[in-house]
Amino acid sequence: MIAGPTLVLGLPLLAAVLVYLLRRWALAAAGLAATVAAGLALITWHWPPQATVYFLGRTVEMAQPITLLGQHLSLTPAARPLLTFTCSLAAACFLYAWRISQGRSFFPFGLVLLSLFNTVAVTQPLTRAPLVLAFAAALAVCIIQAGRPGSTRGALRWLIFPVMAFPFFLVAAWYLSQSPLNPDDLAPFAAAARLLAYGFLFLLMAVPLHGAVPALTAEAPPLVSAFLLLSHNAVVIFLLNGFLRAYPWLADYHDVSRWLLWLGLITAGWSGLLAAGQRSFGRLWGYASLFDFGCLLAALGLGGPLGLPLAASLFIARSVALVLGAMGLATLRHRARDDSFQRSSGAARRLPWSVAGLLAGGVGLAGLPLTASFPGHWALLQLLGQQMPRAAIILLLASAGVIVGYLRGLRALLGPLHDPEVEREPRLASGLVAVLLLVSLLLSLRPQLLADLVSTITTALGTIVEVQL
Amino acid sequence: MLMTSEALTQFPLLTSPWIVIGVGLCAALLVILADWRLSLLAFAAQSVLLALLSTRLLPLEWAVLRMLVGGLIAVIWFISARRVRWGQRQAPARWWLLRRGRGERWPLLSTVTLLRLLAVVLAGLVFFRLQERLILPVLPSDLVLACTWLWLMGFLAMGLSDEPLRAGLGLLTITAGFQLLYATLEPTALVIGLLGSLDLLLGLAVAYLMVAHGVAGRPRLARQLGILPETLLSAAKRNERKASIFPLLPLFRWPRQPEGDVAEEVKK
Repeated sequence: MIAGPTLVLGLPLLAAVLVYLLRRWALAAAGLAATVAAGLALITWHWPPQATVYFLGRTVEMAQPITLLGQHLSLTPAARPLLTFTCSLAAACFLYAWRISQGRSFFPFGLVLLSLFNTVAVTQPLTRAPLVLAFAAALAVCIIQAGRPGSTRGALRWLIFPVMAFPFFLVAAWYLSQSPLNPDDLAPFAAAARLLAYGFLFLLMAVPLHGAVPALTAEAPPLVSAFLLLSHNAVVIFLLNGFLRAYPWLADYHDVSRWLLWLGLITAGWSGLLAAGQRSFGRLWGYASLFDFGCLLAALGLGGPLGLPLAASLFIARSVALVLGAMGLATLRHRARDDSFQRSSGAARRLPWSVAGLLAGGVGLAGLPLTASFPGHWALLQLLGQQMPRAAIILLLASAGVIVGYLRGLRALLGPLHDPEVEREPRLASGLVAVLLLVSLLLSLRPQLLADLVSTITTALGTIVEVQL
Repeated sequence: MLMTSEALTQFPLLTSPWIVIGVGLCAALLVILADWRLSLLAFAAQSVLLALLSTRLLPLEWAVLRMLVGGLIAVIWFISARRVRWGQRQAPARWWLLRRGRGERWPLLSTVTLLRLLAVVLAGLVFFRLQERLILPVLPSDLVLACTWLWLMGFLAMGLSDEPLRAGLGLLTITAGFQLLYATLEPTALVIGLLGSLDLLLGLAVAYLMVAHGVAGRPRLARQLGILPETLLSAAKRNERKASIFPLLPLFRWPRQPEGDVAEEVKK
């Protein structure tokens, strides 16, 4: 009998060993890595957590919990959307990385990271999960640097924040474990609430602790950036939602909605302002993604019956836009050898699909019409406009900043060709970009297609129950 | 086996305030010293002193384990820094060069060192102003001071430099302070092991970054260390030759390097 968590955590690790041996053969490594990740995505989506199924001649008990290194790991309905998301994201990134290399280490280390992100989703109690994120950050250094000599700023900054965050959670867990000894004493609860807030400030990487995001997108291979950013965002939002539901008394100590709303607005406003002045697509993309993350936090902060569904739909659209932008940027860096406006001048003539993907992904993060993010951003603006008109204006101005940044980039891309030796883009890469462009367009025209998915996610996230420490 | 209580009675030095002062001094030296070898020495000394301090909270063998982890990280970093000739100047100071007005000479006391010293002094003033307000659960008061000072120096080391070695020293100083605190809260073998393995992993990650940072602008050294992902151009050319012989081979083509500057370095 195989327990569900063993399958979800063990299979990527097992595959990582094989992929590491095959890492010099991009086709074999990418194929195996993408197959395993896609297979896991299918398993976690189609097999309900209570199911007992036969897999390769063995019985798989999805709901069977396991204990690993003193941690209780169980596959809950709440973890299901997160597991499916991280696995399908990894599969898409591995597939694209076959043709546009993101560094040889991406496949094996990506699988190990996938296993660690999955561990966060199934770890109980939640307070131990950030320690796993610290391990993930330490491993992520290899795929961020990807054998590139020179600046290590992106890798270092990505490493620092999760490592700074986990102590707050562990000490908060200790305070929570002390509270039953003296139930009348509220001091441990207050201390735990304060520590959890500090921990989440580091984990969210929002303004003013946002330095890791633009550094990552400027230096790491683009698909690695997209994989890390989206997985990290998903895991942290899952944890935040989990903590708020598992420890409802946290709301007595912090007005979480208000904090999230203002954190989101400041993040969006500041990154929109900085995006307008960037001179390279990597950093511009980083600030655009920060702007979108700010909108996501603001949507979470709105709370009420609309907050979580809106945040979920924004997150799905964000994933499409980020992966699309990453694919475009990866080909641009690969072919034009640089992503600065100056050196990628004229690249639109040789790389039309990639440039289209890069721009659509970027302005999609700003919520421009005809992109997947537009319906979500429009709904957010309407909701904010009713409650806080000034906040809606801040968001509008910030999105204009991101769009101005991309317009400056477009001007360079359409200019005279800087390097006549720029090769044309690979067909598979163009095909994947075209498919995602179509998906983005379709989601912008028919956002109701996401309704079922959003409903499934919000229902699943609502099932988190209080955990016993 | 020597228990902690026995160790404390047999060696009164373990409870002496001098160890706390030594830990604080080592942490400050990590920030102030410009020479990486001295910084690593201070880090190793800090690991030993922290292990001695930990014997008050943990069984002796676990404290020794922490010392071993710290020492191992210091050795890994030392080897990495030596391999990439960390901190070596492009034009070393030779008397015949200096006479011709060429070559670089370190000033006796560099301005960077002075700036760092000033930053540590300022941090110390803030620390002494705030020390009465510091409350950490369960920990003895002298260890509270040690923990807080370690965190402060760790933040300072990270804030004052973007180099992997300095930032790594800062990061591990912060985790060392936390481990001192957490050893009181949850002194279990599992937690000690997990935090120790995280430290080791961080040490390896920082060593990798040190090598990547150190070989910048030195393609020959990079090739020696295997940092450039394969000698890319030769691999690409080899594949092109093979492709002309066997038309299906491009399907199994070697991954190409996305970073243009690396390929240019190899060309040069």
